[in-house]
Amino acid sequence: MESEIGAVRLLLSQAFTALALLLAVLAPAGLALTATGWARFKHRFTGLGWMILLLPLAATATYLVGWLLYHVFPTGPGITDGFGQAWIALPWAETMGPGFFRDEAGGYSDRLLRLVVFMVFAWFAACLLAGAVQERIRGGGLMVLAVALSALCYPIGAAWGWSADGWMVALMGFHDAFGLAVLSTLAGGYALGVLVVLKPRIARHDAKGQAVTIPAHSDGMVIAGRVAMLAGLPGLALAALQPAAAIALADTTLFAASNIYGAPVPLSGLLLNLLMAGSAGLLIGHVLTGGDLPRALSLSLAAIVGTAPGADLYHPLESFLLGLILAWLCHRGYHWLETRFHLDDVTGTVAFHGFAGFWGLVIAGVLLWGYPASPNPDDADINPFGQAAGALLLFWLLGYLPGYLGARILAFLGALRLAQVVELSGLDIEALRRAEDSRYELHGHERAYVDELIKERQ
Amino acid sequence: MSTGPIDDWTAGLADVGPIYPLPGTEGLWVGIVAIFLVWWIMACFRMDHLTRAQAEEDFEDPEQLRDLLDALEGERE
Repeated sequence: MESEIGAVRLLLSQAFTALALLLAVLAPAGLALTATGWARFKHRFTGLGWMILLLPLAATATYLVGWLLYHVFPTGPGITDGFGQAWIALPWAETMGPGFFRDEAGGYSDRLLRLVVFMVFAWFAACLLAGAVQERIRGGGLMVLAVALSALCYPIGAAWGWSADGWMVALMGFHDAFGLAVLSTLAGGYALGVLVVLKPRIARHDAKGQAVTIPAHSDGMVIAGRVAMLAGLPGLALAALQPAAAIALADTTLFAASNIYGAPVPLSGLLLNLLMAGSAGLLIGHVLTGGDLPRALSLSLAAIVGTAPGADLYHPLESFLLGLILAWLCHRGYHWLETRFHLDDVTGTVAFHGFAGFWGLVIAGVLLWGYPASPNPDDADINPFGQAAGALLLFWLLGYLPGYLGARILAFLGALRLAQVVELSGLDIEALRRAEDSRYELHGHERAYVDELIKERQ
Repeated sequence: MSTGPIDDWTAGLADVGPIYPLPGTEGLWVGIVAIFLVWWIMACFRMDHLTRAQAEEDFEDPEQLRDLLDALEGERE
């Protein structure tokens, strides 16, 4: 009987996570569509191609390195403990392939599904970078920076703040229920570091240095992409859950969805909170942007990202009010970066994800002050100082600094920015020429058939 | 006899562990994939350079560049 219940639990968990993954993929895929829409006509296909290529790249790099780092760094290492169970994530460990392995409780476990979830998060991080820097970065340079972000920086950040044994959780009471804020804050900081070195597109400012609005080549694509992302973010949150975890209570064991820290999560509350936050972001965004739907949708996303750290515990109306504040903050932040620093962030990664995650973490520290960060009684409680310190570490130490240094090195090697003439003519120039040249070209046996037809009719 | 640890599905799963073929050779696969990944990134740089170099060369001629920009101007879907 017990083994049957265990089998059902395992099956339900796997089915739930697999379905959530399908939804989660809409986040990076939607971002790729958004970025393509926002790119100008002459750059659109190359940019889209790169964002698609980032999936296999991020997945492979995560398998080889990222997953291992995620298991090595929860404890610092050395801050709260040693390397723990990191050996199970060595890329050559037998637990990294399919098999039947018993977990601590004696049942069969399937950790590899968590690895797949982690790969999708890593792809999303890489796409956040690619969207911000598009139209002027070299392809090779982007790939190197994306690998460093998705397979080095992000796994360390996730290990510190979004794992059951994370030292930030244990010592500082850090809490990010679904890992969305950790990812967004870190990727936003990283993109900022790269953008500072990369500089704006030539077209972004006029001769007097005034910012010029570059219209999207396809508003439809941007809107469709953003809507897909609105579905994808809750998908990422659902995929981040452990859907049928055994949660030990005082007198019984409860089988329920839990967050990464092992605390129970009411699914309805989670979805309601994200929906209310997204609604608030869209409503206020409509007014703040003067009815500009693509920008309003961006603010809706920012509201979801910023509410996610505490969306396992907030009341829906708290989420709504928080969504309003976060959307306003991110809207102001986007224009502040643009006017004060001339930052050319095409998809708004720094403001709509980085700032949203950062402020969301800080606000969660205030609203959830005193709540246990995890079921482990030895861990610190959630508090504003721990959340703020965690957000600062993620944004600046694991995000901005590696992004800035990586971009600096690539710039020194001449591998970061496109030549001006290529930026002007467009990344798609070769493809456009080929298409133009081959429009009326005959292929294969067509020439012979045409000759035959001519002969017949003569 | 098989290339992996599975000879008989009816023997039970209690002590099966990994089920993929050639267990014990994982280190070799890791090395090959890691080398491939580095090669792929280098190939990206090379392809990038070759593709863009042609455009850079062509558009050294300002007339050709102006013609192209005129052609692209205002293209929207």
